[in-house]
Amino acid sequence: MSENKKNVPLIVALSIPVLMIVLITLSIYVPALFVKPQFDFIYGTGHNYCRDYRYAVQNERIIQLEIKDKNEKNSCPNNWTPRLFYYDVQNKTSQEITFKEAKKYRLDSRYKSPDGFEIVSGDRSFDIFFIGGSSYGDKFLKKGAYARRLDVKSRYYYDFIFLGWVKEGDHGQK
Amino acid sequence: MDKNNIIKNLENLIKEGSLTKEELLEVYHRSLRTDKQEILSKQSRISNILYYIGGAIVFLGICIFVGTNWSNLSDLTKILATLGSSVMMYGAGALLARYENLQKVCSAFYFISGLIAPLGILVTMDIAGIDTSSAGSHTVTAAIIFAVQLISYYIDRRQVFFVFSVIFGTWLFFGLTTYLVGGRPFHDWDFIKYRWLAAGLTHMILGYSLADTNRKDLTRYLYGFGVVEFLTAALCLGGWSPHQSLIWELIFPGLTFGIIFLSVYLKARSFLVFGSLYLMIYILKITNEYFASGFGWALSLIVVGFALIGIGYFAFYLNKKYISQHK
Repeated sequence: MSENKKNVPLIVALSIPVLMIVLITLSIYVPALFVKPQFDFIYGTGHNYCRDYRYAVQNERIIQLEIKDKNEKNSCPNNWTPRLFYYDVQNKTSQEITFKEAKKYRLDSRYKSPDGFEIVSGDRSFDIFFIGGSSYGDKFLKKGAYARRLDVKSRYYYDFIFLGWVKEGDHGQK
Repeated sequence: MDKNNIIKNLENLIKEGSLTKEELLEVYHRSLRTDKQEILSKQSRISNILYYIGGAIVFLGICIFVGTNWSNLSDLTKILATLGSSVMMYGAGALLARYENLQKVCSAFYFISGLIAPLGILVTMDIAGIDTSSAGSHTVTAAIIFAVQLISYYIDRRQVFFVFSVIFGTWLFFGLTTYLVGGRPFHDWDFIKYRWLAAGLTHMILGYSLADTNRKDLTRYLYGFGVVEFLTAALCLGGWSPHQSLIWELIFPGLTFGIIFLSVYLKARSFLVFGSLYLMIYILKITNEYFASGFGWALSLIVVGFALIGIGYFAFYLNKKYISQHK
């Protein structure tokens, strides 16, 4: 009994990090069981001022905007073309679509989806153990304590252009 | 002085309860210690320090060798120079452990092995094409070395294994939690602070658990690191106006006073020193944050000055009355 009593501080000390790991795990995986995002979205990549046009949303529809003051060819080292993707939140997949296909959807270009989700970059945490580097280039679907990594096709954090949430009941929307 | 009289007096003191068995034994052991033994003990401490400094220099040498010749070395040489050295040093330590008079040298070899081990595993991972900056690879590295050190400590109760178990266990905790969060966009800095808060608390309680064991000389280090980690994290959680956390700003003085009073209970000077120091930092922070413009900076400085003198005297008084006297 007295030997057990002597070990109490040791057990308490070791249970603190273990408890924190359990709590972190629960806080990440439990909300994922109950939170179900409903709205798919459309995003673009490869937008730059080297091309003749870029994509934008006007009156709930995707349009091609002409770029009048585009960069000189010399300052355009890469050959990125603006591309459009349809993100299916339930199947967690990105599907490339054409401009013609994208025009079919009515989009809500507000920052937050009608069910309260937003698309944000990962954190930039870095501590003395040099762990993890930065996840700023990754995109997450976030609402409160829930956050899910998105499988988007952007090359860098600035390559991702959110265009809009596909409106409820629209073509393709669940 | 008659010996019988002295024994009689001692008997009386023991009966009265003024002299305990521990005090009597301490006087007995102290009187046995000769000047020569004192010198030998001092020399042993110095040679101990030299072993570990030597070990750290060997580690540095291997790092520089691999770092400066990275492009010239073959993959196998890189692995042999790092992971191979670590395994070899561990093996040498295990062989030396058999000789009674080489116990300290043996610990020095284990020390070098523990220092090089993470470098060796990360270099091997890098060669295998694994991203060594990811939380996953850090978790695996820390877990492997933590397991080796813990098993080694279980077999051979050597201090160096215990120290490395604490260090790599802490690393494993940070690695695993970072891996679990996986870059999710939460308040990243707050997440780091909460983890340091937990790590600090763990180190302090771990120190306490060793206080009555033969590892009690590690208690003060664990107390020192633990209290600094804990109070730094708690202070940072308070934030700075206008993004401050009022709850943490209100809790913080309670935490520092708690630490200061614990110093009396545990007879731990590091609690007293760091508790007082962080209380001073807190007063400076709060004054600068809230009263610098209202009261005027000069008036705030006067108040802070007196507060610091008060804390300084209070700490000195507690140390003299409860800690130094006991030690």
